[in-house]
Amino acid sequence: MAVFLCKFTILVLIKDLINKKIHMKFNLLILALGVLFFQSCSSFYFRANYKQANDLIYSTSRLQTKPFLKAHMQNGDVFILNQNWNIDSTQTFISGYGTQYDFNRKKIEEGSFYIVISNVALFETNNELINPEALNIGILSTVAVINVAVNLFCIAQPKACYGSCPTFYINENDNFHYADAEGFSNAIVPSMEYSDIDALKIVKPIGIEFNITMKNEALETHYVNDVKLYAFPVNENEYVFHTPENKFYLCQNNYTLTKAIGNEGDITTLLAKPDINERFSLSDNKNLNSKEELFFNFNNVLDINSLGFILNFRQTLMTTYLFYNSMGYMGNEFGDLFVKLEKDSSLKKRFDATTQLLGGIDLYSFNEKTKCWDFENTFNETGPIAINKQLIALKQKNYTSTVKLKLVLNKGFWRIDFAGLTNINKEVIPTILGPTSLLKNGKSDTETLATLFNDNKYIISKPGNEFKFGFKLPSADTKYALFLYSKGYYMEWMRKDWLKDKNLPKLRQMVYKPSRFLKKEAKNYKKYESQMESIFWNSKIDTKSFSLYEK
Amino acid sequence: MKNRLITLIVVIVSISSCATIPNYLPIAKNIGSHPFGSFLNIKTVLNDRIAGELISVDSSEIIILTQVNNQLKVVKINIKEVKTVKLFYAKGTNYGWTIPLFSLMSITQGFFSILTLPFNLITTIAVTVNGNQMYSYQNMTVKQLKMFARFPQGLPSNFNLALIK
Repeated sequence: MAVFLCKFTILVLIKDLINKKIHMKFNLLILALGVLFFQSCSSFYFRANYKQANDLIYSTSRLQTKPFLKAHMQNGDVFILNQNWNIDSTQTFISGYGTQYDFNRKKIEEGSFYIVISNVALFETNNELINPEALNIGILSTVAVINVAVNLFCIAQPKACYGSCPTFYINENDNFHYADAEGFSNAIVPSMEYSDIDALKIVKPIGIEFNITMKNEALETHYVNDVKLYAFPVNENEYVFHTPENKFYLCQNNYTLTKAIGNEGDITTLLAKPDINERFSLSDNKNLNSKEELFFNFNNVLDINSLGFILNFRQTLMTTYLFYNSMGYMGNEFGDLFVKLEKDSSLKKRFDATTQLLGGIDLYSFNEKTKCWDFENTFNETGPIAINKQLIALKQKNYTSTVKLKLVLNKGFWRIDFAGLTNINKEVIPTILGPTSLLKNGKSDTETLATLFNDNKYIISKPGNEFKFGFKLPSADTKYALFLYSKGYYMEWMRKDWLKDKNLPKLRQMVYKPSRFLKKEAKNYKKYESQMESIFWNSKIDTKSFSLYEK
Repeated sequence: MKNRLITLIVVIVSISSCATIPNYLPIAKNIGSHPFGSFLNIKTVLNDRIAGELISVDSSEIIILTQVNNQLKVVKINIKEVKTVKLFYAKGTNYGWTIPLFSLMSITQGFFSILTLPFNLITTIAVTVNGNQMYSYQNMTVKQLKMFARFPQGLPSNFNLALIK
């Protein structure tokens, strides 16, 4: 304010000089006075100092509420006067109520003062700071709103906020967005234990050491019976792919996708590269069990014999939703029902009836001779975290140089990252490697390592546990296509929030009438899906990309 | 993981160390009625750090009332030896409590905690640092600095600095 007034005064003087053509000597006098005025008041942000009482009067005359006034005396004392101070008309005294401090700022007196202006060395005023905390409070309020929204979401949909099954990482510092593999997602009771193979990357490690870290990032207990590495030495432009039947093929000549069409239109750019830009659709709002088709064209295929179709895919969160719903429906009978599930083999077969109905991703190839779509095989792997990279060897051979393929899959159930075509050279057998070292939460643990070599023993992994398995590859400076083999099961922890969801008739419907359940549940899932899919997967921290081949 | 934890601890400790603004400073709304000089933190060209109440400034030196071994001492610093200054004119607001609070909120957010925990840590640490440093200025001219001294008019004539407390 003071700066503004000072500058304003000078500007007025300059304007007068130009417009009114005042006499030169008089002009100089005015200019000198203006400069003097400018020098006698100085300000910095909220603080202003005045050497002359006149400047102080001028600066504060238009203010509705006067600021506190500090009168710094020549002897070092200071008077701090409340907002009711006044300067007499002769500019001899300042009067007001306040406090006098000595040069050590020890309080001398409090009361009404008449201060002789000639004894004042400097006046000081401070403007009030307006909402100085506004930015911080604004940021914290926004963060609080976001957190409360996420917390409310987790309270309303606790099943959406927690994961499942062990996750494996080549880079131990990655989070689950970049999990390289997830193990035995379907094995929710001991008798459902099974082994799982997941493709890792093609690596050329320095030396023969290779590590992989297994994490428990959910409220579950993992029982891990075995962890192995399947290694295939590969040359330049060679790849090894894994089929749904756990066969391994050495391949070359990767053909890029020419055209891909879904219900939404052209999806070629989404599927042409393995970049975690995934194609997915939303579920049908009337029936969760409803299919869609994707069509692929691969032009200029040089060798139509021994073709293999590569697909990088994972599930959406529909599986998690259905699984956690089933647990919620069990309510406080969760324990009894899981014992029943463990003992009753027919129930075990039916337990995941809903996901069975939703099915896998069926692959069809177009037979140019019969002009019909021939069924080839099905991709199916449970789990929404790690991306599966698998191959189906095409049986049908009647193609032109353009190979036409079709996928039939359930709407809103699958996320597809990449589709490609390759030539299969031959089936290959892996070198199977067991871990040679183990760190549990950063500490060497040979005892736990030994359990992996005993079929009847398990590594027990609790929430927050991290196990780093060390492997020794057969030879150094060799490129390897690596696959992870894991075997075990996990026990989901019942959450208190889920107990209130107990609904045994609904559970029965889920198990015995899955088709009806999926129709009825479509509306509820839609609410969950619209929030979960967009928030969860689109809120990636960065867009780290990966490829089948990593240097 | 361990490295991240150590980094986090270092950051939190650094933030705590930022909170060395002395208690004698007023809260922001009382700056107009506070009789003392502002708190000045000086870094010299020799990278020494001197901090204390700003007593007075003139064109050649800055006088500071600093604390050495729990004793108050007046120190004169030649302007030419000053590399940087940072002036605190009011107590910062302590938002440190938001760091554990929002971290705890993240813990209850399951999968989302992977996103919300770093987000909450970054924002609350940033707000805490900003809150601590909020009422401060840097890189001021001598003329500006002078306005925040206990004696903005300059030292009274024949003044005995040894009497300053």
